[in-house]
Amino acid sequence: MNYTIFKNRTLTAALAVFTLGVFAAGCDKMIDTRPENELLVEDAVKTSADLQKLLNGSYNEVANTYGGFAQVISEFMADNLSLPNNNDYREVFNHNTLFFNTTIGSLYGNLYRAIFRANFVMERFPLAADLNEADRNRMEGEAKFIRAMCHFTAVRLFAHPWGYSADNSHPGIGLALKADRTPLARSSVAAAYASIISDLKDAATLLPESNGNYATKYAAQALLAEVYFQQGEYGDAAAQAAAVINSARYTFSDTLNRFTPKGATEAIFSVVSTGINDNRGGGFRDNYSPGLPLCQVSRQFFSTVNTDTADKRLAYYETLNKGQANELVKTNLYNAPLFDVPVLHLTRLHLIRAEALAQTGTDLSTAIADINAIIGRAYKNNNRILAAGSTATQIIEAARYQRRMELMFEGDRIHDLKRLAAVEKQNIIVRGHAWDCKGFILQFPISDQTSIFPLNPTGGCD
Amino acid sequence: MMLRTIRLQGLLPGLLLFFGGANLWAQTASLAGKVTGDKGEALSGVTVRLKGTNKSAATNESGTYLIQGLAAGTYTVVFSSEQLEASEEIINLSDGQSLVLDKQLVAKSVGADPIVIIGYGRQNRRDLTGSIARVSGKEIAEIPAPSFEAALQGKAPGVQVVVGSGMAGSASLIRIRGVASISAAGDPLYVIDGIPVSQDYFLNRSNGSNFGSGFNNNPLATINPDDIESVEILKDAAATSIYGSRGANGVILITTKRARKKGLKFDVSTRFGISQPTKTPRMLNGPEFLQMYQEAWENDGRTGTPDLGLINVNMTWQEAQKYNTNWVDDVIQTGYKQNYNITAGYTNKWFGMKSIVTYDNNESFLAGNNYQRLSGRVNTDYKPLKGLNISLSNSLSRGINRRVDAAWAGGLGSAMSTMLPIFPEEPLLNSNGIGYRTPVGLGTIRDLKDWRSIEMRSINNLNLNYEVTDDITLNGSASYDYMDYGEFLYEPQELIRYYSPNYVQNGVAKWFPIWTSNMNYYLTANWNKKITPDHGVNVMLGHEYQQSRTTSKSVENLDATGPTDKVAIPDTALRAFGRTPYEWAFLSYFGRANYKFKNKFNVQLTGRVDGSSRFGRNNRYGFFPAAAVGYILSDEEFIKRHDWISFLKVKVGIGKSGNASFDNYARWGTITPSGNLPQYNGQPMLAPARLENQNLRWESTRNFDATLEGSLFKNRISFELTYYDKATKDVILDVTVPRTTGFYSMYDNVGGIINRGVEFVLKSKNIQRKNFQWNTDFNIARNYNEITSIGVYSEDAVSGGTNDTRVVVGYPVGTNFLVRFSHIDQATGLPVYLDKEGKETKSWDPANRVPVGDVLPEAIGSLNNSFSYKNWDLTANIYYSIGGDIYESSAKRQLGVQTDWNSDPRVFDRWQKPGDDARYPRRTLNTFTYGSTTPWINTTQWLEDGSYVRLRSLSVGYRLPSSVAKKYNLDGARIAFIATNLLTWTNYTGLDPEIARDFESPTDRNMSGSITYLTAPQEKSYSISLSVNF
Repeated sequence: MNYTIFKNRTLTAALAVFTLGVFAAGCDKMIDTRPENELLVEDAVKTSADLQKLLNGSYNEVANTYGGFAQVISEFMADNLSLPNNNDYREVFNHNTLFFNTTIGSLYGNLYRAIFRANFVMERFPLAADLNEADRNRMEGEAKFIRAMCHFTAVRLFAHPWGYSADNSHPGIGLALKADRTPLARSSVAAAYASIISDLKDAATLLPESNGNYATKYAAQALLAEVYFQQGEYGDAAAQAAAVINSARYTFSDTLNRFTPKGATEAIFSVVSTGINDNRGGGFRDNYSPGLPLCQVSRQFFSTVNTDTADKRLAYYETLNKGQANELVKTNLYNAPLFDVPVLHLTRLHLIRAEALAQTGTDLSTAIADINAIIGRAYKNNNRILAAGSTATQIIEAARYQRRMELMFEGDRIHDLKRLAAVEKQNIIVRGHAWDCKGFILQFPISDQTSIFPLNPTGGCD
Repeated sequence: MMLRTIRLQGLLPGLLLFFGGANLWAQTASLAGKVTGDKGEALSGVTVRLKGTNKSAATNESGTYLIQGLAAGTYTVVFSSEQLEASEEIINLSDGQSLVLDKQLVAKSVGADPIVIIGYGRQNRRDLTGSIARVSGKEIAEIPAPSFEAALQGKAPGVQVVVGSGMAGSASLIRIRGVASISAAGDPLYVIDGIPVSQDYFLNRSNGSNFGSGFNNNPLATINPDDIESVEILKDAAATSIYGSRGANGVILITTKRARKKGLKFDVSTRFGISQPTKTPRMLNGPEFLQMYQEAWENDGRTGTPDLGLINVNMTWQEAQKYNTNWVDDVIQTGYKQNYNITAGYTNKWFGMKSIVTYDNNESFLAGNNYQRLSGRVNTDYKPLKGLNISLSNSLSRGINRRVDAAWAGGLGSAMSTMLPIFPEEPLLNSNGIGYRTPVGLGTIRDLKDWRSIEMRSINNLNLNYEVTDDITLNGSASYDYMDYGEFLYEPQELIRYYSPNYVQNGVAKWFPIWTSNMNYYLTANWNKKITPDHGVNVMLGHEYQQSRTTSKSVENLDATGPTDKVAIPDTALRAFGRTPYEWAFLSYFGRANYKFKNKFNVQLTGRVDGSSRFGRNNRYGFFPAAAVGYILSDEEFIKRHDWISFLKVKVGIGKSGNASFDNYARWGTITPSGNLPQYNGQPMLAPARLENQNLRWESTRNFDATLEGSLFKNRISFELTYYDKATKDVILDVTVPRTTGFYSMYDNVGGIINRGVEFVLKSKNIQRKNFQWNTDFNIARNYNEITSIGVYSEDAVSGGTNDTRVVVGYPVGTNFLVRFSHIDQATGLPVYLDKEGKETKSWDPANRVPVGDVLPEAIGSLNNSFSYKNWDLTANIYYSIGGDIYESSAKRQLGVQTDWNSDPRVFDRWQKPGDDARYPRRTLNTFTYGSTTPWINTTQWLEDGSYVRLRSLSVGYRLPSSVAKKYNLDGARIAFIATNLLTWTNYTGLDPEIARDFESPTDRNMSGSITYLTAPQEKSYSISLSVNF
């Protein structure tokens, strides 16, 4: 074409500048802006201390969940409390939870955030060059313990119980075993229990016998006992309970109250409060203690409690506005500014072992001793002490009664009822609703509905 | 030839001409005059010709002409110019007469409108292959609007403009050819004189109240409408793909005025007006409210004197009966508007300058609310060397928005909700004399609260254009857009004590500044060559870089005696929190090649490569190509044969563009540092804040456009018919993820959306007489929108804020997803709902929600009629929107369960006794009466057809005859009366059918358009404007 173009100096210079501009600009750094008050993962996680902090982040969610939140929701499904004056909890109480229920949604969110963070830690071990094997094992054990505990809570609240279908193939929950964004398919209840048991067995192997306020080998075994007990695997439940009891690390204290500021001597795993500004038992205190509390004791339950005036635990209850239309019964158990929340403790294990041994018909004397340990602590007289040679049936009856009296607000009642129905084949009805009706489990939040994750059927139990 | 003329021009002028011709050789007469444009400006280079003679002249720079040596007789004078609509006048000349004939000409319309601004250049309209609508600055500046973009309403087909509300400075919602985004901003890209301006904080909620103010900031409010020469709206890929990853929702190019006329020229204009609401809310008065309350009380089985404690009102029944306050009156005023503008222009051979100074004070109908803007602009052009043009554009604008609470945050919103008529103006003291038991009055809050947002904005551009050879041009442009926005809030002790009677400190002052510094530069090289007379090529290559950084702070003084801009904060009282700065950048390369054959066939190829800081590592750069052809059929013989076709062109284009307006850092996996988190067990923690997504990328829209445009009957009728089809994939969703992921939401490219539609424009010059003209412009656009995919997620994966709009595959973006309300049961007065299968049910369950409506209109358009008679003109612009639904979200509280909200008179149509066929259910105070566990439930009962037709503007103007103007040494003068939103026709039972509420997020903005929650109505205004040019 026209070569004069290139003879024109001005043009050549201009083209050169232009070209230079284009190439000088061709640098990725010009478009590499980074967030400024958050850390990139590779910058934030470099040492085992960083991993420890991440793990502590998971415990923080555990504390947010088991500081009373999960227990209160569970208790409203059963019959120890009366109708709450709160729309979200009212749905729980009426066994008709809607997928917009933000209270349930945040409980569910807490559970899975704890699991996510546990998985996240396990997947970031390679980032910490200074991580030794002992710490690695401990952290993996803790992460698996947290994962199992949260999955266990989720499957018990959001799915029908173990035993609802013969092979437990009925819909369970999402099993979050990786820290990634992939939506999960809904697994069966059988698969959920298999995963929980596998995690807890790993945890029991990996964890040390003592670990400050964090999860230990015994915490894993204590939880495993609960899982087996829920399944009606009484032999295994008794064995796991025995392993923890026999360690002799945990003892009953003089007081009946396990919700104490520095942790009860019988506590195996607790949600820890370090001070007035770090009170993690708020889920109990704030819902049970105010003048007109959300959680009020149901008349039916209180009449059961009130039958035995020798029961020291009666002191936990107060009746307000007696004889009036607005009479209510509340508990003063959580009327303290600060306490730890024992999630796994010796009382549970004695109760599990007693009932489990009685169910299997082995070592009834140990079972009787377990029950008498509880009774001996709880009554002003010895009227209820089980005589040596009591029958399995008597042991079971006593164990169940004491379970309800001891663990009354710890969220166990609904799961006990479901076990009696699904495993022991009893006919369980709560407030006119059969244990296997569709509203007897919580509804998932709407966020979790995907084409591979159907929610629970709507419509409640009426 | 003569015969043909006669046939075309009509018999009479032909005859006159014929007879006039007989006198051609008599004594000489002369004809002189001045030719002006529609703004009264002098037009040079206009040919003035006497038909049938060889006499002609061209106007000089002052627009005057002179033709001498004419014989007496009757002549047809033809005024013509390439860019103007030709016009004819018939004159009679007598011997020796010197006739003065002034003429005003208007610019040519379709098919000829000469130059159109396109991305990185300009093009003859004739050569355009893309779909670009042009709106002149005059059309924008003339209409009083809360902000300039509101004036685009109805001006271009397929451009939906929903004016936010009547509040001063209110932002409009603009959607070009539907909405193709869900969680990425669906607004078009705004480019002012070459720089994509900062619009990041479109959505930032205000900080004035604890939870916001019910009003979104508007980053365009400081832009002076009087600065604007033209606005080009780029609609299809052929036009927008040059903007690559940011063009998918259309591009709005704003070009500011530059000096054109020789010499020193001034335009001075002013406007005064008043503002009123289009509809004033009417709420229940005291007795009516108490009547409804008592009815609810009794319906619930209660007896005796009703207790207002059930709705937390601390008044006895007898007390309540004493008061009857109209809170709406307390917050509404007649707003006054004023605008003063001085424009000075000067040009000579090598230098040109335009200076514009405008002061605008726009008071709305909400008492205490106004927007004041003082803006100055200097645009200079300097030609130091042949071929070199240096242009500098600088603007500095300061906007002060005096704010009032609105919508759910207070003010008029409170008057329509929680401010009950039984509350006295002066709140009642508690029995112990400390504190109040009724709320403080709305007027008191407004008077005591000093709340302003002050914005300083400067947009600057330096452009160097160098014509290296006749064929080659280099262009370099650098721009800087700086914004200093601050919101100042001061609540004096007196106000705080209404809420906290024991408050001992002075007032509370808050300051929320935001600084955005946005710069770009681009370089282009252009090669334009006519290779042979038939073949021309034009190739442009370019490179651009843009970077923006925003920092902000939040400052609080809890012991202040005045707002922070007036009273300095002592260090001891200061509480300042830095907020996270953010940055984004784009690095781009682009090119465009045009090939033109015989001035009738155009091919255009464009392409752009965009890299952005927002794109993940695996998708650093995206490529956005487009190809288009334009073919002028009317130049072909087979069309030319038909005299009635003046112009006919077909355009077809296909291409890709994107949308990259989403979270700046969503691609990074991040950890929240320990310092920002609590501790557990006395030990520090770290927590993942976000999961990495290095695949994150732009939304990609494939855009097809086919247009037929033409004009008929000597340009008397022109039309444009367009079909377009846009398919968007990789739609960015701020998806509500399953909580099993450990998060509540995250950004992902998952969805698909289609937008498909037809646009039609018809312009007709109905009557073209010497003294009377009547033009009609009509446009209509029909858009079909559908979500084609949202991956594995459910409808609820993306929600339009609290508005119950959802993403449903097979339905439009912003589908109302609601439980169906069936009727009020005549026996019980309770609402009956439908379950998913359509079976009647008394209980409300969100699982029964179905897609029932959508916020997008089916068709929008406008009808514009303009008349001119001698020096008078009248323009009436009607805007219409057909088929969209309005969800009146606040009605569920106004007309549902009786709570602490007031109702409006619609509530009278409630069920009272068995057998009543009522529109609303029985009154009740009990949350559970209507079959739900929550007191306010979203159902189709609050969903209405939102169609409306509105007389958007009506203006009557009078232009001083040039002969009179000349006497006063003026080039022109005009006075006009303008009314906006004068009349509205709609079946909507709420306030105003044009709604864009305050939004919580871009998703909300895309999905919850016509959803109202106590949103203030539009403004009705009446103004008088006066302008003088000299």
